[in-house]
Amino acid sequence: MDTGLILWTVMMFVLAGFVGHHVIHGVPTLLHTPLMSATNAISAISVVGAIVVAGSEYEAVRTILGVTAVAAAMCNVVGGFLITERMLKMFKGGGPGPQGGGH
Amino acid sequence: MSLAWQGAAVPTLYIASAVFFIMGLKLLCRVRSALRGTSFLGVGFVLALIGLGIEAAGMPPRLALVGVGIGVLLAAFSTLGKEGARPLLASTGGLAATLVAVVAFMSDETWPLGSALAVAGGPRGAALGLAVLAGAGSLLFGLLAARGPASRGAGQPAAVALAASASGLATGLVGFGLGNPIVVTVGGLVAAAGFALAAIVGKALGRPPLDVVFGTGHKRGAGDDYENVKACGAEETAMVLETARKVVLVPGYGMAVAQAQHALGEIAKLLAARGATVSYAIHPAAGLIPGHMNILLDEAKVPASQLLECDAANAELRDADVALVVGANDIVNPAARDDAQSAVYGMPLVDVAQAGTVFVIKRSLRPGAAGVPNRLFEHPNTNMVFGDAKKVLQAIGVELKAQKKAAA
Repeated sequence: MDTGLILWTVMMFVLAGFVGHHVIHGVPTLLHTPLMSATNAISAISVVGAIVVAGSEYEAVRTILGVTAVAAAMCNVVGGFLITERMLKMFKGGGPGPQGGGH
Repeated sequence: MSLAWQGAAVPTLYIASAVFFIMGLKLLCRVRSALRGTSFLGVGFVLALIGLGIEAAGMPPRLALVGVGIGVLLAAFSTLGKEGARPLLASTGGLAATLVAVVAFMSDETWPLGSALAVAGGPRGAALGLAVLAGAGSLLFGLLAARGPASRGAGQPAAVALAASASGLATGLVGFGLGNPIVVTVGGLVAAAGFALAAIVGKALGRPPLDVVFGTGHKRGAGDDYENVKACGAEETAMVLETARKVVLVPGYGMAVAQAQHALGEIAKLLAARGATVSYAIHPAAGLIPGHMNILLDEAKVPASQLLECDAANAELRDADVALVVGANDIVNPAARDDAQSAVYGMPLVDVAQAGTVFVIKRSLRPGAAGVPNRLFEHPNTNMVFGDAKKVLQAIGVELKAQKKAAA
């Protein structure tokens, strides 16, 4: 891994961090829970890594760990999205009165 | 594994994916666009996966599919199941990142497994070692969210947010170890967003996030300390107001101080235009002098027919959807009825807790003229909207108008 790539990656991480922090700023309380659930879901992007590293030429241990990683990440992302959607739909449909605007 | 970015297709996909992730998070921060935000995140995720598919697929597709299948089944199972299982879901991302880091480690013949934490392994080895640590941290926060002191109550989102933050950190480090740009970017986004979110939740509860998560630093004072106070913003208030059919407005001294009567009258008009029944509860002791509220509301051209005396207002509140308290404290203190020891006991009471939802616009939790705590603020139906009454009401008005436009 050459120094250039390392620096690029570090820069990406730092900049992404600033963007993430700023994007969240000023979010209303109501959305804290769905937002953290969605944020958490996309962190399962490491499924990408899981598929990259758990190659076929490895012995059983690594393959099993890799498949477990893929399963855990998929569980995280699918479950996270399901929960987020359900929470947000609750806001739309719920409430004491008739359905509010929006549509 | 190949670190090469294959041609222009993969970087393009990754950049598009990152844009969708950022836009998605941004949209998720506004109530009206939140659902669209999740779709954006989904698109970002799929784009990243396609990019990966082109770049390098180390795992045989069949094996990967087995993992995907198991994961989806687990997700369906845990989301359909008990509520308690859900925070655990938050740790699966951290678990995945940890496992990936471990496998990546084992796959590097140059660095034996034993040097897991050795910086001697070079930046890549160090990153992977730290990823394992961060992943473990994520698991810890997830467990705390599910079973720890934070599992009951408002601290849970903070614990889950920290779990997400740690798993984002782990993910970013894994991406660093693998040299994969989209994994690094999303890791950075999630790490910072999760941490910021935990800080926001902690701030809303008036305590540092770690105190909230571990249940420390939590003491209940002699009675002027509040527990489980929920706070929300103007946008949320507007959203609940717009679906309400019957709204009772309860002005107090704070409305007079902030000169918020015009802004309040404006909101009443907007609500009435939507077909809601709107009335004002006028407590005999509201404001500095009797009739203080009447004078101010008259100045704001509020029809006198909408002003209700205490008893009439309480009857109206019985089936009201929303009670909006504007800068009042003692006049809505249930201790006036319930607590014979309280200084306000026996005073007339505007019993707002009967309404479906109570919003209290107030600058802080400080006691009113009577100097006594108000348990209304910790009532499960109560939401505090902290801020200057005029500014908050104007913000609610803007939101209501925006809603109206969106509906038209």
